Amino acid sequence: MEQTATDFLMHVRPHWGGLHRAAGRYTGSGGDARDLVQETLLRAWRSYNPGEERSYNRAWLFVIMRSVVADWQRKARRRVTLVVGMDTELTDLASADLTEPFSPLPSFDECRFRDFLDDRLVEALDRLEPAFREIVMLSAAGDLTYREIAQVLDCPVGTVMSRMARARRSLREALSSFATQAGWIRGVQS
Amino acid sequence: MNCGEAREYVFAFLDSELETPLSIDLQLHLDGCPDCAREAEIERAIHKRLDHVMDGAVPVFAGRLDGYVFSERQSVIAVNRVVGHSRVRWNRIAAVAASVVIVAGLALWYSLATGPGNALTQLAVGDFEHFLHEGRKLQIESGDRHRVASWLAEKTSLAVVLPTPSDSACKLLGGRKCTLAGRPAAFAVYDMHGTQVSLLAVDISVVSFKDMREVSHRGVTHLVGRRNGFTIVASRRDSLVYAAVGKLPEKELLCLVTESSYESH
Repeated sequence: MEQTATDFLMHVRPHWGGLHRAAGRYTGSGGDARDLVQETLLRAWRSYNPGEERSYNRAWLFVIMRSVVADWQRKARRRVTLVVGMDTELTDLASADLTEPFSPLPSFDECRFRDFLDDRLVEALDRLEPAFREIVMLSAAGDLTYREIAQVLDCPVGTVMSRMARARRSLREALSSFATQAGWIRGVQS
Repeated sequence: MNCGEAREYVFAFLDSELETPLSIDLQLHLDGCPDCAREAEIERAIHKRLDHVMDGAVPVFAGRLDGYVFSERQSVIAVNRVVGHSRVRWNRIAAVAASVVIVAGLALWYSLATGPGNALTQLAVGDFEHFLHEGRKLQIESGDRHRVASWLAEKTSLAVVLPTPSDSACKLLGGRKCTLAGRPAAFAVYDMHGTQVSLLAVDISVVSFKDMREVSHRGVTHLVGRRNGFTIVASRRDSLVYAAVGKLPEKELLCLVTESSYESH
């Protein structure tokens, strides 16, 4: 049994940072994020059986984490700031035209653009639909590849690719909207 | 490849998720299309900043977790052998005990987090240097501590309170919202005897106090550190850490973080 625990920890260790960063995004709070990771690892430990032929990889841990988040949402015992839609197909989102030009952004120099992003990116992320925000978070905070995200969300890799593109386009639209409101770019006149 | 297709594939390309033939086609298009190349660079910058924003405080996964778990599990296994009950029943009990031990081990370890990547000294000095050397402006300029604190609280959602420094030569200049380790933080600037000093307020869960030593001042413990010629003096109030940063002796910076400075006048 000691060897089982050692093996289990070896599966968890490389994904520790990603799990914590993602937990922070699901819950918005340091304490709840730690609890989410703890509950995830406890459930992972319970389901861990090295005798079975299956892959105990990063996607496996994130599937479990999403399951915990979904339970917390249902039972409303904890504050969840990024909801998961376990049964959502999002076909309407996948149908948007990704070949359209990008929303404009100001021609800032590198330093000023970084300041603009520092000030607005979190707000822009918060404006995204939860499904979009989650896919961006799984990639940026969880370090998951598209294939792993597909495993976590239980959808084809092609769907992940188009959903990610729509999510990043929505992020760009939100940033463009902030820049327009601030007067840094003129709105498009018909 | 045309511009529409380039827009469709650029995100997967930036994430290194595009198949090689398409990647080559897209790169060739970017080499020949300045507009698409500019958009790709903008998206690359957003993607890079996104990683920075998502980068939060992560407790260290240290060897002590392994040691704690296994020292407890040794005693669980010993009990199993001595009592000699049925294997099935004791395996189930041992599995539950092991689960409790792992969770307890994690709980012990969280309280001792000292992740070097989120050290307060590094974050606070880095942010102040960024302000001083890159010409970042204050977003609110005022000497009224209540007005600046209200503005900072609104922008950061942190319950920021600014002190009335006990040193009369210390004047508030204003503040700005900033981001530390992906989390909002409040940044106020003071003029202290002609030298600019910053006061940073950030959620305590974001930072660690590695490389800082405890100092007692008028019976209250503060933390003091040094980095790149700056002195950092920090104190905790409720769920926030306040850190004064400047190229002044620590006893002068203490006036910004001592408890009495925060009492209402």
